[in-house]
Formats: sequence, structure tokens, C-alpha cells
Amino acid sequence: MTKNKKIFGIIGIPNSGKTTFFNSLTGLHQHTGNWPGVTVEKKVGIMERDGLEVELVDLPGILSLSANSLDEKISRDFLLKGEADGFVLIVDALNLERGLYLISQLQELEIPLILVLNKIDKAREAEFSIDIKGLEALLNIPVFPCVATREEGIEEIKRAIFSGKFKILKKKTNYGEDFEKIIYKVEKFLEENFKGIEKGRFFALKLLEEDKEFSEKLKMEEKYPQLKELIEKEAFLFCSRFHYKDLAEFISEKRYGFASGILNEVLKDYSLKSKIHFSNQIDLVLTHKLFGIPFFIAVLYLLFSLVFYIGNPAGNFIKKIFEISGKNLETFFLSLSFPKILSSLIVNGILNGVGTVIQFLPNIFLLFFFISLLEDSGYFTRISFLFDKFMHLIGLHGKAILPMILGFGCNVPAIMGTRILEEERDRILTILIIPFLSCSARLPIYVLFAGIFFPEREGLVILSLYLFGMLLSFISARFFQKFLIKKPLSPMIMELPPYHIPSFKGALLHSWIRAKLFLKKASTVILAGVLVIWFLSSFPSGVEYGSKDSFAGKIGELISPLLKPLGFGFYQAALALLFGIVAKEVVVGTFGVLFSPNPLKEILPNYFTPLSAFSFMLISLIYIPCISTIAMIKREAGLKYALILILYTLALGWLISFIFYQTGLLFFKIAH
Amino acid sequence: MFDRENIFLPPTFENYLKAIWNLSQEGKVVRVKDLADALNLRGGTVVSGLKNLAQKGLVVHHHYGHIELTQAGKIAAMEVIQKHSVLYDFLRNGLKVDEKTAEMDACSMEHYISKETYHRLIHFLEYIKEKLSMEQLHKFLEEKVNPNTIRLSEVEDDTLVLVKSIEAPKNIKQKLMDLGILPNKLIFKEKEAPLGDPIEIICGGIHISLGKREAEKILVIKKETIKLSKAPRGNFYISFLKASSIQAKKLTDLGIVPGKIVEVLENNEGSIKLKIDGNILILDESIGSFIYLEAYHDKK
Repeated sequence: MTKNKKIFGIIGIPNSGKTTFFNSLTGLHQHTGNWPGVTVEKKVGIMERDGLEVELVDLPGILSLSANSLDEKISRDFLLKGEADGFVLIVDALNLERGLYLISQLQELEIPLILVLNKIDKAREAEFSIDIKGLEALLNIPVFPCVATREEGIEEIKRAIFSGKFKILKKKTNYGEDFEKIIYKVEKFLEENFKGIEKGRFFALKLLEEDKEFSEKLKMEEKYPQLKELIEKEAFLFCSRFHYKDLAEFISEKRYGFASGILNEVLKDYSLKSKIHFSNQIDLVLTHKLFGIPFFIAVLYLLFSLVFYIGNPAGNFIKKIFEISGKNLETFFLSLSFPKILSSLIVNGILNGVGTVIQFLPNIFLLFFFISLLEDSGYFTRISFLFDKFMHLIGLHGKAILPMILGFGCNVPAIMGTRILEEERDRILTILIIPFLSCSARLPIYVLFAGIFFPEREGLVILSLYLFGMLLSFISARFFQKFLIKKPLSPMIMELPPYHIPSFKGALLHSWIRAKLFLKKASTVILAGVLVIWFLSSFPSGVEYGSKDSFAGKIGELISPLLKPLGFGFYQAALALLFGIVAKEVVVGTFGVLFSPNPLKEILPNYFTPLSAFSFMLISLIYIPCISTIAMIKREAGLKYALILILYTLALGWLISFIFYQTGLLFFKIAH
Repeated sequence: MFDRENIFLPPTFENYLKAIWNLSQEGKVVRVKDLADALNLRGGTVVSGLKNLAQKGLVVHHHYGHIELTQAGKIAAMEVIQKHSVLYDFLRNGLKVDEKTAEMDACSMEHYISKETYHRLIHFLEYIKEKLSMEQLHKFLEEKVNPNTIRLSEVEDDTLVLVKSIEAPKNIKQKLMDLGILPNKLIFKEKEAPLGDPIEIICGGIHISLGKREAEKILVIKKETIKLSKAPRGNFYISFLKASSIQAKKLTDLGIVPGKIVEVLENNEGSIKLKIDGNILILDESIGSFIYLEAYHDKK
């Protein structure tokens, strides 16, 4: 039996609670991917009832149909393409005017719609009501009130979707007789001279608005010059007669006129005693000239502590479970006289590998839980407001500071966290510079080497590495902008939505979706990487795991001459760095295994001088971030950027260690 | 005017030459149809025009339809094009006229400007570009043409302004307009970020964070206002309601509509007594702090 399937799009203004609404409609029945060709997230939810399957596509938030960013373009293209059987438009009841402004443009598209008024409880709190029946009559589409955070009214909306209650908007924006004549002329000209133009009125308005994308579509046509001339002439006459700079100004003004006209008719029962100052009072503190930034640091500290102080022990606990079960399994296999190679595959390869991945899970879950709470509360946009100037120095928006700071904890969630940035350009740039921020996994290396070679000055040495990493990330940001990501920083025009109490359930759902994604996508790549290393360490058969005779050992020997000019041209260092690609903590562990039974504190000074030790710490900071990070970069930014970053970090790491070590040598020679 | 080898060409004919030149620069074989399309004229008109130009020795119209400029025609076309670019440069970069107006004015001026003025203009441009600070010149021009106009980025905190014009590129301007920042609308500059950039403004009750580079493109006029909660007794204009559209609606339904005259009768701490449309209202101080007033000058 073939099922009936329908596709509906969910559109809305940013901050209208669209995501919460989408989540309460579809719950866990959603999958996340990317829109074709770009790294903008596409969320699709599935609902089923009485043999009818409904696919809900969550579209990026839009203010209008003039697509300025990639996100907005995706939404507009989807609206125009006609793939969907209808659209659910979600509007914040407290911000109805903005919603009506969008409606004034949707009407020209003549698409089937349902209007959802979200946050209707807030409207009740603010002591006013919206005349739903009146609004339905005015617009000629069904209107449903709802409170997405509490799932109020969701069932009615579901029913309406399944029974196909979508209708086409009737009320049109009144642009006045003079302008309607112009629209008609252009529409007629399009109809007569261009083939295949649907929604002529919409197209004509877009051309009159000077929307480049639409004129670009016609540029190749034979009659385009005449069309252009017609529009320019009409626009000139109209604008000089009514004193506008361009038609877009006039059109926007009329659309706002439409919105406030309807608003006036449907607002009822308002009283003056409402709590209108709640949001402003909070903002006085959060973006205060003096306290704003300290407050952010406090919030950040709290977030950091919660993510890593709860997450790390939980992660270690998970890792322990894997280790213990690994050991038990090993003895169990031994008792069964299992082939040694097979038990090694399961224990050292798979179990170890999976453990390495899953130990990040608590961090990621917690991180996204708190991020989601903060984002929902409206504080995120304020962070952007606070730090925009500072981040401009390196060519990014203020918001990017959040994932970057998280990078000091662990690069993996930090890279996932770049999803909070709207622009693809900003996301990729941030992703590319996060790996230079010393994550907690690099700390054991610093602690080990600084402790042995720079006693009493460990703190200073470690701090210098952290600072140097930051410097590198800033320089790299500039470098990538010069050679790789040439698109300029998008303008800073951002709505600061009112604060409100975030939804706990929404945050849980959000973090669960992220955690699932992390497990599914990243683990495949990481597992493969771990298995390769296991293979290299265990073969040819019969060698001791990771010893000099194994393939890995041989590769180590092969690489070590390359490391000689950096001050550590022996196979143990090469192998430690090679294995460190799995996870940087492994570097220390590898030294431990390779030099056993000698304690590292005694044996390392035979191999390293303080100079080469610092050089080793430098390369550990810079060279290829761990497999988990690479896998995440591939997922978030694509294979191209993952490969670029591998090459860039390898080259840069080698070069900086080389320069540092060689100048150091030279310096000592002169000094002596 | 008769100095181009004593031939005066009416503007339309100069446009013919320009169009033929441009079309042939695109590597096309120019025919009557192309020319008619480019000039947006009828074929018949173009043919008679070409005849006229051919008589003057500027154009060769081959029998098989192919149109070519003669050497003299090429020179004449080049002259017009050069004049256009000089005039455009003068209008756009010298006088800082907006792009569209500069383009249109250059198109009409190119046909009538005398050789002498044209030559002097070239050197004049050379001089001002080299010797004068163009930035200062533009600032001066702007102040003279639009007195009282300043850039939104320069407005101090807690100030009401009226948007005069938005000079941003198309896509930024559209986004600003979509957020309700339109010419002749009142917006409120709330504050600067702690680091000095961006700024926060309120427009239609919505808070917007705006980079200084974007705010610089918005020209505004400052309004001298006073909050109702701080107003002394007397008459005022209601200027602005710093509230969301819904909150504003509540106030306007009480008769507190921007543009109306209000008389403050009493302003004690906590409550304000006022008269509007003959009705007496008592408002809470916190609500009064969202209503901005302008001085009312009684014309007697």
C-alpha cells in the first residue's frame, strides 16, 4: 500500500518561537541534515495519522521575502519552488505587527497558509487579547492560538494540518491607485514578453523593489532592456512625484501600513496595568556599561564549570566502564583461548575507540543543554552586542566568542557550538580557528613537560602556550580571510528580543538531538580512525602492540628524521604525535607505554632538553587536532575545510617548532 | 556649441553614436534592430536618424544592414562617453550626489556642456582631488544641504531622532526597512555597547542592535524631547511612544497619540495629571517615562 504523503513548510520570523513550536509538533520524530550544497541545517519532522504521512520542513527564520542572507534565501526559494502543499506561518502574538508585515508579502505568493499565534499566554499576561475570529475573517486563513512551550493548542494545529485546512490569503496590501497602475504595467509586460513567469504580481513587485536576484533571472532575456527602462522610468516619475528615494521605501512603508491597519482592528481588551518593563530592567544589568562584561564572565564561568566539572567526571566514568569491561573481556577471551589478534581488535580497537568517543557525550549533552537555555532566554543576542567590537578585530561577530571560549574546554563541542552563528562564512571561519585554542586534552602534555623541564615555572610556561594558541587563532583568522574566505563580514543588524524564561523541555530535546548527531556521525569517522591505528600498531602479526617493529613503529621511524630539526628525532616522539591524533591525551599515554618500565620523569631528560621540550609542546598545541575534532569539522564545514585544516596545522606546527628550536640553538651558541 | 568640427549634434544623435559604439564594443555586428532596442525607439525612427548621421559622415550604413561608425563618428562617440564619465565623476565624487541622480544628470549634461567648461572642469576636478580634503568637502556639503542632519552613529545615548534618509547599499537598506527603520520614522537611540560598538536602538517597540558602520549610513535629525514623567506644567506635543506596537496601541486608545497636544496639569512624584482632547487623565510615572514630548510653541 502506498502511503499518502504531503509536505508542509514551517515559516516564521526569527525569535517567534518557531523551533519550540516545531519540536512540540514533531517531538523526537525529526531528522537533521543540511540543505543541498550548503551547511545550513535542514530539519525535517515526520507526523503520521490515518495513513497520511506529513513531512514538516523547518525553514530558517525570515523577516521578509527580500533574501539578504543565505538562510533567508533558502526559505524564500523553498516558498517559491512550490514543492510544499502548504505552509504554517508562526507569529509571536506579542510581535504581531512584524508577523503581519511578513504576511503582507506572502499574500502576493498566493500560497496555502495556516497562521499560528504563538506565546498567546504572554499576551494574556500583558492583558490584551487578539480577536482570532476577526483576524481569520480579515485574512481569510485559519488562525490558531498556541503556547508552544506548554504544548497548548498543538493538537488543534495538528488536526488542521492533517485535514488540510490551509487557505490562500485574501486581503491585499493597498498600495494606492497610482502604484497599482505601475504594478499592473510591469506585470502585463512580464506576461506578454517573458515566458514561464508565475506569480506575476509578486515578480513585478520584486523588480520594482530592485531585488537583484529577480532582475538577474531575466538579464539574459531579449526584452530585458525594455523592461528595465520601463521600470526605471516609472520608478523615477513616481519617486519624484511622491518624494521617495526609491520604490523599496514606498513599498516597505505601505506594508507597514497594512500591518498596523490590521493590528488596530484585531487588538482587544487591553489594559494599561501590564508588566511592560520586565525586559528593560534585566537589560539594565546585562548590557550595563560596567557590569555587562563581568556578568558575562560570571555566566561563562558557571557554564564552563558545569559543562566540564560535571561532564568530565561523567565522561571519565564512562571511559572507565569501557576500560574495565575491556580488561574483563580480555581475560575472558584469554580463558576461552580466543585468537589473540581478535581479542585485541575488540578490546584495543573497537572498545577503546568507542570509549574515546563516548566519553565526550556528557560534555556535549550538558553544553547544548545550557546553550539552549541561554539562547532561548534571549541572552545570546546580548553577548553578541557586548563583544561585537572586540571580535571585529579578527573579522567575526560578537556571537563567535562563545564557541571560541568553549574551545578551551574541548574543541569538539565548540565546533558544534558554531551553529549559533547565522552566517555560513562566520561559522566556517570560527571552526577553522578553534583548534588553536588549547583544549583540556592538551593540558596533560603541558603539565608533564613543563613539570619536568621547567620546574617552578610551570604556570608561566603553560600560560604562554595558552596565550600563544590564542594569538595563532587570531592570526589565522586574518590569514584565512585573506586567502580562503574572502567574503566580507556581514553587517551587524540584529534584533534584541525580549528576555523570557527558557523552556527546560525544549533544551532537553535540543541537547538530545545534538548528542544523537554526535554519536551517529562522528563515531563512524572516529571509529574508522581508531581501527586504522589499531591495525598499524598490531601488525605484522606477533609484534608487541605499538612497538618499534609494528607498522606504526616503522612509520614512526620513517617520520622521525622530519622531526630531527625540531629537536626530537626519535621514533617514540614521532609515534606519540602520531597516536596523539586519536586524542591528544594519548600523547602522554604513548610515552608511558613506550618507555615503560622507566618512569617518565627520569627517562625523558635523556631524550629532551628544555628547548626541545618546549618545541615539542608547541607542535602538540598546533599540529592536527584530534580525530574527533577533524570528524566534527568535516560534518560542520565539509571535507574541503577539514583537509585544509589538517594541512595548515601540520605545516604551521612544524614551521613554528622549527623556527623556535633553531633560533633557540643559535641563541645558545652565541651566548656561550 | 558648434565647435565639434562645426557640427552640432542633437542629444538623440549623440546617443545613437554612443549606442553604436557600446554595441560594437560588445563584439556584435550592429543592426538597426539592435540599435532600436538599445535606444528604445522604433526601427523607422532609427533608420531616418541613421540617414542624417550618414550625411554628416559619422556613420556608414551598409546595404546589408550592418552599421559602422566612421573615424569621425568614433571620435565623436568617444568624446560623449568621456564627457559622461568626467561629469559622473564630478557629480558623484565631487558633489556627492547619489548614484542614480549622478547618472541621470550626467546623461543630460553630456550633450550640452561647452568645450571650454568641459576642459576647465577636468582640471578643476584634478585640483580639488589633489589639494582638498574630499572628506571635509563632503561633510561641508552635507551640512549645508541637510542642515541639522547627523549620522545615527554620532547621536548620544537616550535620544530621539527622525530618520531622514538611508544611504546604505541596497541589501542593507532593505534589511533595515524590514525592521521598520524607514525614512520619516522616529527611532530611539538607547545606548552604546560597553565597548562602544554596536549601538542599541528602539524602533516600533523593538530593540535592535546596529553596528556603527551601519548606523553611519543612516542620516537623522535630533529631536529635543522630554519624558512625560519629567515634564513641568505646560503644553507639549506628544512625540514618541517608546513601547511595543501593542503597548503603544493601549496608549493611543487613551488619546495619547503622537502629534497631539497635551497639557501637563500636575506632575507630582509618582503620578502625572494631564489634559488631552479636553479629557483629564492620570498616568503612572512608569508609564510616563515611556512617553516623549516635544516643546510646543504657541503661535499667538
